[in-house]
Amino acid sequence: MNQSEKILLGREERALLIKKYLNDYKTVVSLKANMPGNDKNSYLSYLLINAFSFLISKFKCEEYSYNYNNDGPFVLFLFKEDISKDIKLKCIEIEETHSLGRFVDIDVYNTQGSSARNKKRKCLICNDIAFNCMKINKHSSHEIIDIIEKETKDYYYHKLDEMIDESILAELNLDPKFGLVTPNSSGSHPDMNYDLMIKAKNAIKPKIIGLFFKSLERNYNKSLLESLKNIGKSAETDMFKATGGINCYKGLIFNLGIVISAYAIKISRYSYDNIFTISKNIAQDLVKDYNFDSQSFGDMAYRKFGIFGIRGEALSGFKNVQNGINLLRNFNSKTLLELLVYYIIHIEDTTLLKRAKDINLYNSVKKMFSKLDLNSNEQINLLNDFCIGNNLSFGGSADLLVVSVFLKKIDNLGINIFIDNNIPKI
Amino acid sequence: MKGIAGSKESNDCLITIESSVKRKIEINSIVGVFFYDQILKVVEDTLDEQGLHNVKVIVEDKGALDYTIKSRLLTAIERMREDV
Repeated sequence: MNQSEKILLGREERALLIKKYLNDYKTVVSLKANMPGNDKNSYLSYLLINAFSFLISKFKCEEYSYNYNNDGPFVLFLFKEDISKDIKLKCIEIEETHSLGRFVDIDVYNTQGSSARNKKRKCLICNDIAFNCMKINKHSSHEIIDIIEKETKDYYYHKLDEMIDESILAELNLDPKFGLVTPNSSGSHPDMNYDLMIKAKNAIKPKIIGLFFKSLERNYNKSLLESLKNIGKSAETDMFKATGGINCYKGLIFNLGIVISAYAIKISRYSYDNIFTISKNIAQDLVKDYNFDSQSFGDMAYRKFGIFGIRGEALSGFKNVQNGINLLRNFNSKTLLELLVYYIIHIEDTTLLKRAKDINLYNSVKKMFSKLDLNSNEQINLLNDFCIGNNLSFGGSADLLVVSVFLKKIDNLGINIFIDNNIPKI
Repeated sequence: MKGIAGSKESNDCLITIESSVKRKIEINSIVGVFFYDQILKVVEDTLDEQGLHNVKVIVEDKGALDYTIKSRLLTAIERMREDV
């Protein structure tokens, strides 16, 4: 069987599946990418599906099924009631208003069959009716795929740019923050201030997004890992250039970089692992041949105290984030502070160890935080003064707070990244 | 004896074929105004190739390419022949 025949068979399979579901459900909505050419499972199809998975929560369907075959990935939304008329209007609106709406098919079926579109869709290239162009092969599939690729990448670039920005700012704007830099204070970092952090943020952002796009490549191998390392290094270089040599976000580049690469892998193919498992694999592959023998504080901490630091967090698949993220019900400052304190208590933070200089003080600081009453502003201010007075800070915890906010935001955007098998959430 | 193949999704077609006393072809296409003759030719040529004369074919077309129509028809024929 050649590829075209396999695609046709896949399409038929999906139609039969829909028909089968219509025995038990009154309405089925099918979401799939509108991808020309022979590769229906290209990363673009998956990115498009992900971009529209917010529909799952918008439609409030009883169940869904996420699957793929040779005709590409698709999501079926299942409803017990016949709401086809109502939902068709919503689908048309989404197809017509979403910037990627032209590249997906959202079809609505009820027991009488599918409801047809009133207006025929326009061709992406020449504005004629799309069917006419297709029928006479007016444009090559490359020509069309190029447009889809450009627009899809633009969409993700802007979304990621916005979400990285919001995630870093969520942490940076939190005040008071126990010695970390805030809009009003340099905390325990006399060499830094708010404006400098903003400069560092803006410098690293394009490179972090670059890691996302690089990781869309299908081949996960040594050369990809090498490229990721190089992009990470160039993010550091750009940061140091922008800050005059001050290290504001080196740890964040590492952690957020791994998470965003894992995100790219998760949503650009039918991935059976959750984002934490993918992150763990990337982290392990990145530091595989690392001996912890440098003179950096992190390496010394490992040799002397067995403290892995934030690197260990990534190597474990962000085990503390997996628990901590449940605290992130919203992005209010009270919730963010609660999560920051959770990380201060639970993670191995070499920034703290470096500044505490002593493992006993390191442990007793953590103990103080575990006794902190977050409803008492008085206690918060006291502990804040104590940390600044003793020149303490919590860079690793701050990084994980940014990572957590980012994870929550990308999860809200598309498919459920926290569970295996790529099953979208309801 | 009857065979069905395809779907009513956009860019596809649903084809039903069954034995009949003479050849009968029915085409419902969303692009029928422009492409009725072209679709009819694909169906007739394919039936000729297969040596099928006494069949009734119904094509419900949602803008399928010629290749798709031919492929769906061939599958429907295959299924008809298996349907005893």
